[in-house]
Amino acid sequence: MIQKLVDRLLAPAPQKHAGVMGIFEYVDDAAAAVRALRQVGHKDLSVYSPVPHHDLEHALEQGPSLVRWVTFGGATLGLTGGFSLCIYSVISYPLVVGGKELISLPPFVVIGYESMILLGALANLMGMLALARLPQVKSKAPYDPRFSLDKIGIWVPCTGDDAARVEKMLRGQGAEEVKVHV
Amino acid sequence: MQPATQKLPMFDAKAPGETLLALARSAGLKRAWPESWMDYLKARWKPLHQRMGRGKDFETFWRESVQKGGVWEEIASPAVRWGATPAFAPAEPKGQGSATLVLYPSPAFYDGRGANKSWLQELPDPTTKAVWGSWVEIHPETAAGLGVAMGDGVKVETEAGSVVLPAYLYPGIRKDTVAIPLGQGHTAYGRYAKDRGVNALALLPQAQDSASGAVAYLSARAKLTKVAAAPELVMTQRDKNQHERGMARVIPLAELAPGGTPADINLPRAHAPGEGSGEKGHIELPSQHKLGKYTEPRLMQEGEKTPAHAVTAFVPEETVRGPRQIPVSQGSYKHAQHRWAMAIDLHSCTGCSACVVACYAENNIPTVGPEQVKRGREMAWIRIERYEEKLAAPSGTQAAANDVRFVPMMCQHCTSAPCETVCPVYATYHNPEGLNAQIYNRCVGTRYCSNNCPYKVRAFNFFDYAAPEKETFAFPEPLNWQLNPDVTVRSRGVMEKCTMCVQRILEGKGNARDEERPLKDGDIQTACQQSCPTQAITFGDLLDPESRVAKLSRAQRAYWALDELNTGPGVTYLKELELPAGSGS
Amino acid sequence: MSEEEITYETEMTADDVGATEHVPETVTQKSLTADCLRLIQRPGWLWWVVFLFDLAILAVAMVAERNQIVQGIGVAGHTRPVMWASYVTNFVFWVGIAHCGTLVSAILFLFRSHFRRAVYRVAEAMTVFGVMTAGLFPIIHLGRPWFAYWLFPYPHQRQLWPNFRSPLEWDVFAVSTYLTVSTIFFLVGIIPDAAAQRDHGANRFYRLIGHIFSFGWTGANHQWKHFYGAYLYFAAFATPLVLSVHSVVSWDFAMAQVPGWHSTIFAPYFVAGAIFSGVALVINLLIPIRSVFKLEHIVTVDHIEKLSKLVLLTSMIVTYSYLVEIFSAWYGPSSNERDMFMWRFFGHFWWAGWTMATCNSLIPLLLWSKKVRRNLPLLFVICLFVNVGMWFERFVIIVSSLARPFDPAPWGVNYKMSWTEGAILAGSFAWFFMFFLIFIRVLPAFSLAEIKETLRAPMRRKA
Repeated sequence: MIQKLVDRLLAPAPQKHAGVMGIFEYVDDAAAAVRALRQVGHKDLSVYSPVPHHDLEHALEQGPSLVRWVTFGGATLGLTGGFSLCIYSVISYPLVVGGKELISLPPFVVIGYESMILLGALANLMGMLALARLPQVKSKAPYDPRFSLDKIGIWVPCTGDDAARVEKMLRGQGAEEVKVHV
Repeated sequence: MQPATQKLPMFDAKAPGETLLALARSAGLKRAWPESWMDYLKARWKPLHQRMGRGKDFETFWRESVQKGGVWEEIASPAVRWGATPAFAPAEPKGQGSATLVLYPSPAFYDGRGANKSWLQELPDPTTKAVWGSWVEIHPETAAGLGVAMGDGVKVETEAGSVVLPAYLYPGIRKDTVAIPLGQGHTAYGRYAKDRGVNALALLPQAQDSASGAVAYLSARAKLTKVAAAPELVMTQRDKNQHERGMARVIPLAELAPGGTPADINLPRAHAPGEGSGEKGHIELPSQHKLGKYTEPRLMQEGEKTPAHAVTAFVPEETVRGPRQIPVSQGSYKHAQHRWAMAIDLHSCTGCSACVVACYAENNIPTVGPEQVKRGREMAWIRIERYEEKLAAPSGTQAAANDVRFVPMMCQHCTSAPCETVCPVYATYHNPEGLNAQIYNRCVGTRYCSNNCPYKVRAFNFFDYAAPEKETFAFPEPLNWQLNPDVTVRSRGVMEKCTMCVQRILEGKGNARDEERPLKDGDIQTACQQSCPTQAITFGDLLDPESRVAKLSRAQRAYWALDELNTGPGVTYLKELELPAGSGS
Repeated sequence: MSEEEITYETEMTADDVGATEHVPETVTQKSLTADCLRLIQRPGWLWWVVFLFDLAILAVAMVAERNQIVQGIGVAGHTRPVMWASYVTNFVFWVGIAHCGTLVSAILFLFRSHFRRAVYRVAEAMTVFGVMTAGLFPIIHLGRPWFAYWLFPYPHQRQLWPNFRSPLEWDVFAVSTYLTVSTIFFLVGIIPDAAAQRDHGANRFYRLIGHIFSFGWTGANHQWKHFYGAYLYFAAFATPLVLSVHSVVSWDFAMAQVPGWHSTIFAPYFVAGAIFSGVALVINLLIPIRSVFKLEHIVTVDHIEKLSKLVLLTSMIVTYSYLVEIFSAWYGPSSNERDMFMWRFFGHFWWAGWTMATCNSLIPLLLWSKKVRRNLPLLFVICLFVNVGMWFERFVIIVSSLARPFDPAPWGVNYKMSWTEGAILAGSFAWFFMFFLIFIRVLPAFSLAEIKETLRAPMRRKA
């Protein structure tokens, strides 16, 4: 029973993808292919790799991730929220302890600081998941398990004639395998 | 016979007369016993009625006598003649031993009648601070000669018998004398007294003092030998040395009153710390160096109404005082009507420890037994600290005398209490009237407050002393009947400490409000103050300029324990007077 | 579109492609994956023996804890004045152990250190499990642990809030933030490796686990972009977090008045001490793991030597802190503090004080020698002593300072550790190792993706 459940979870979902998938072994080949494809106009291609490579990143001309802004928002919220919580609590129920000020800022700094880090990190996580579209249920491209091992895959969504052209380009750049999906 | 002649509802108690009648009947003595003691007594009074109650019927005579408490008649006073001055023979201790044996009545048990009271067993002896047992006091040099250290076993042997006791090394006893307290060593008498300690009377030969007929207490010489095994000596305070911490201070009489006896030993000091700050209407707390914004007491100004929170617990719930009812802008703490504080005169304190027992009684403090006291877990809210200071030897030949000082130490109710800041759940906070309040049902038991208290006056409930089903139950029948209903009985895991008898404060305030009069100094007495035989403890309101505590807190003799820590205690100590040598104090 | 090969200048050189001196030439991405995933398979009998022994100790500890909850804290050895003893010692010890992981994974990441890649996953696991262990103790040491939730700020019908001025409340925030952030950091870092496990795992069960922990990761470029974008900020948050959490824990003591606690050096002292004990435990874990699982080519002697240099450095800092404390006590005006420090080394607990000094200051001096640093069995023993010494350091700080308060009347009633405390101490190690043993069998214990980054990237043109 459990075996069947596990099998069902692990089985890849049948998906419809239209495009060309090229599998490369060498990084410089893949980077050259990416540059070439982007020059021709296929800017919406995806590159799958087990580790990120600087060559590929440069070829793709990716900008910096926008996660940082979500993080910044979260951290600001945390800092102000931490202080607000402390100040609200002593105003709502004023209890004097140790002869100290009700709104004693030095200890509240610790709370504000930790809240800043907590909410900043949570926002960082949420931002990353949202922008990277994780957890991913439906895949955008036919995934090959070798992409987590040692191979690089370039997926170019296209149809018909385009697909044939892309296939030729990929083979020209040294792809190990090229497969057209319709 | 008065006042209670009925059976008590909770115990099967009888009046003494009823007991005698019941005994007589059950012993099978055949007589026509009266039905009840009342009948018997009335029958006995019939002749009196004949003689003195003519003209009234018996019932009227009886009732009037009962109301007045009796009937009296004049008799001629007999003449008294002094006989010859009795000659008291000096005591002659007999025996082979090297030390004279002194048996003295224990301050807690006297002759042993108090031994079944757990409070008294747990009360640290004023001299040795030992609990739940017996000991023999030996001079350190004598003990060194025997090879005995503090707590080692010593066999004390006289002609009549021998006992094994732990040794307490005490420089205040003569080198050729040993002393053992009386009162322990019961073989029955109750669960707390049974088989506890040693009965030193076993060491005395059967002799009577010729003049008085009492037991001849000073009649034996004892032989001392060290033994390996000994009953344990459990003490709450092992070290009687102050280590220059300034807990118990003295002031030479000459400094207090140069040139002679002062008229009043509580003369105010010239300039109190914190005085002269100039703000109108503020009364400085004597121990504060700097005025705090929230905790300085303030006199009511003209036209100011008593705010709701400054009255008593008897005010209806809608207008109850609580920090939330007063907005912060008005400064919840500034409108307090009272600032409770205490002053303790160390010159009057004899170390008798009656205050300790009174506190146990008033505040439902559990006794924990010798095993737990050995681990430092006694629950006392007030303890008498005993410090022995060596004075400089008056002349080169005499050994330095020991000056013994007692410091009753309880929660100091500090203005800047270090314990309050560190409690993560606000289980302890400073209430508007200057008390450091402990909220038992908020306490989660982190114990940080006790760590931060420099006086170590906080007691933690390590076990469930209040759960009847557990063996640590401290109030087995009938002790539970003694519990004060005005005070919570705390469960395990909760910290507790002196509250300055806040239940009595509330009662005093409530009574004053009911009688529609202001509180007077002396209306409220804490249990320790009430029980102190020398009135060393004074409690009152610092905001009342006429109160005794206000005067004493500003005396020249005043000081505060560990004041270098700036805790600002609410308990002021008055230095002991150091009288000039040879004045016989 | 011409078919000629496009040549271009790459700004990378062979050196940029990871520090290959760390990993031999024979290691490829494929063999690396195989090696690391080899750990994740059905455990052998040795693992089961260790695991069951561990569970037995944990069971004893749970019985002891239940007994303590029912009877009261009295079954532990606390006294008046020593109201904190082994439980708070354990708390600080475990938080300290936890800090090393964040140092290695976050701080060294920011410094672009390469040697960290082989070791940081084990260190991060140690962090997460260490904080989970440490977090038990603030609950265990409470007198009424069933009310522990009162320390958390939640809206309340009576509008009661916790006291934010109390260092224990700061602890709540710091430790729960640390637990949350380090768990997130750990799980996020695992995502690419869990994907490899999902794809190449030994059997269905392990692949399913990989499925769950990888969140559907495919390694697409946009995923990598956001992943590393976020990872940098996680590391950037974790760095001040590490420094602040142990500072906050040290302020549990430094904010009190107790002589021996009230010292401004506590924050850096404790942070250095935390890294000290944590790195020592990492070394203690890595040495057996690499030999049992034959991963000497991935975690090399060089890596371990670099870690041992950290141990030496932090030992120096801790020694300096001891000397500063002693000097301040001697030079300063407080006779209470001077008395306390004399008592710490010559009073009732003198043996604990000297154990601390020997294990933390003297024994690590051996690490100045390169031969010692590269001698793995000797290093293992030295690091064990370091951990013992660090436990005793916290014990000495807490118990010896509390036993000698300002007021002399409570002196002489000394604390003695009870069986309950011993059981719970052993149980904390059992709890930690239980999670660790399960972890190494179920998730990748070595960071595949990052170690792959240290390998020479496969290039057709070798120039």
